[in-house]
Amino acid sequence: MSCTPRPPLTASLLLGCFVRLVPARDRWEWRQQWRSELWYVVRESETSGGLRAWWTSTHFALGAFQDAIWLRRNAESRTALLQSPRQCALWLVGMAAFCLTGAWLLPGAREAMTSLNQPDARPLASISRAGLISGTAPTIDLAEYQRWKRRGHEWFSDVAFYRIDRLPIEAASHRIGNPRVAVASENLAHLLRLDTPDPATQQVRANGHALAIMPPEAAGKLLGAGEQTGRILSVAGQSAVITVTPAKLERILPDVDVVLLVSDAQLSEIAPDTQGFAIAELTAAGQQQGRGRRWSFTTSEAGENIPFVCTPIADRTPNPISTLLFALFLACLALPATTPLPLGEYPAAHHPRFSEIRWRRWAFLAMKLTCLIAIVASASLAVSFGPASISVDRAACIELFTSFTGLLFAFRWALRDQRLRCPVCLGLLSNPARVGHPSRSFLAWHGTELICGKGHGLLHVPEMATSWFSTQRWLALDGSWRALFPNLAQR
Amino acid sequence: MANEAKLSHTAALILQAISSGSIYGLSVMERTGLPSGTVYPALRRLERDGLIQSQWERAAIADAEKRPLRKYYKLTREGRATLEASQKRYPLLKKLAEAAEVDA
Repeated sequence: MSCTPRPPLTASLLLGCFVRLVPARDRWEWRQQWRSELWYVVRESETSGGLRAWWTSTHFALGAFQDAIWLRRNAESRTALLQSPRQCALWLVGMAAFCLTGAWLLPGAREAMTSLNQPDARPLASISRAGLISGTAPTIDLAEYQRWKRRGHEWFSDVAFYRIDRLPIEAASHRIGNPRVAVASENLAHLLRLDTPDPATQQVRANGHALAIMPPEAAGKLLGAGEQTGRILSVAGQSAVITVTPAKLERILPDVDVVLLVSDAQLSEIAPDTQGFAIAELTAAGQQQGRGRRWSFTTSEAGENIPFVCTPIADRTPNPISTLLFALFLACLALPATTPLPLGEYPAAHHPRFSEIRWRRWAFLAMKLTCLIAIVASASLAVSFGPASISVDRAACIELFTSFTGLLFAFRWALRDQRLRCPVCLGLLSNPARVGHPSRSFLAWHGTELICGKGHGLLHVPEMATSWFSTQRWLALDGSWRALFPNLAQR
Repeated sequence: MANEAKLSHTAALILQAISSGSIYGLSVMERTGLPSGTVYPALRRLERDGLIQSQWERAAIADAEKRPLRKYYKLTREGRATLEASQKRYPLLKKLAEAAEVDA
């Protein structure tokens, strides 16, 4: 073999890169063929010399990319999986079922999906002084709480008080740290629907112990692995019996490690001007007053009107459905930036089954979008709410990000896939061929041509949108093409 | 003919070029004016669908002429029948064939 014509370095480098895309079993032959052909290209372009010769061989080598990609795609038979509409629908429904089942099996994700174990199933609201942001700083005096408890209130059927502080905890005379402790009135457990302590714990409590409620994560972090319910702790010098509850306290008491329930008598030992937080269960009148939104009321004390703000707890709890809907809205807004929205021109009105064909196309697209939403929603719930160690607020952020990203790419795929399907049989179009040159866009057609495997027609996709060819255009083939397409009888 | 239909206009053009004597990739490019990124994938597709078949030339011939081996393509019987059918649909294909005869 003669080695007289040396291919330019760029062409050789391009072939060296593109060969990596070719499946291993075809690589040797692919490389041989392209190097051989390049040798002839270089020899023939030698006469033109210089830059032109370099460009001719480099341009030739660039075409190897599409050849390598074609081989790769055909070897993977990736498109075959979604080739027919039935296969595509089965695959999507299967994936949606798989993701939903996976999310359902994760306790955190299941809870988010059903919202059955949410403490805010009751009409709860946090009460704070007007002018301050609810939930961030203590604003309610213990004396105010005690007045509401004593006199009752037209808007609340019950009200609980708690204050949060870092308090020392000892177990068996051994100090184990200064966790964040919410010292709360006893009725907080009732309002939050926390599990009733087992009989043994209740019996211990009857001996004058307070009740220390701990989430499993905090119990594991502070006290170590193993069964902790029933152990006796000393919290700021007060003995308490532990009960570990799986309920998500963080929705209402964020970053609290221990909830110490004390009797009203013990609570009254604190200074009356100690400020804390108040949670109330609303009466029917209270619910009617707010209708799920923030509202304010005043109480009169010693001739002075004191304004308060009542914030429904649900407002403070990120709702997975609301987050998903917001992500859906954002994805719809961002979608036009990633892919064109038009599905192309399909002048098939002359077709005998035009209405049925059009209905099937839209139904297929709707099915794809529905399945994709189910897949993305369940996957994002599993990712964000599945791990028990993630806080609710952080989980909501993760859900927003994953669902937005997932929906955006899913919708983009759905539109692109829809545009590459035959409008009659909904099968994926095949045999893409590039036609024309970019420099001839004004005088001739330049773009990609695809064909339906069953001979229903050709799809012309312009490379560059022009005023006369702005979107892809479908050319339906009539029965006279039957000789070329034996499968035409199946239309 | 394979189950899948093969003949876009481009594919018919390439079949016609091979039939007219352009039996390797570069000559098909020269005759049709199509770029390498279109011709080589199309040749693989046509071969996969049984319309053409390829064969490496004998090493002795290439060595004697001090050049690398070439991969040659020729139409199969199915390819020839398909080309005849598509010539009815694409009358301009015949002009390509006539141009080939003039060149020859």
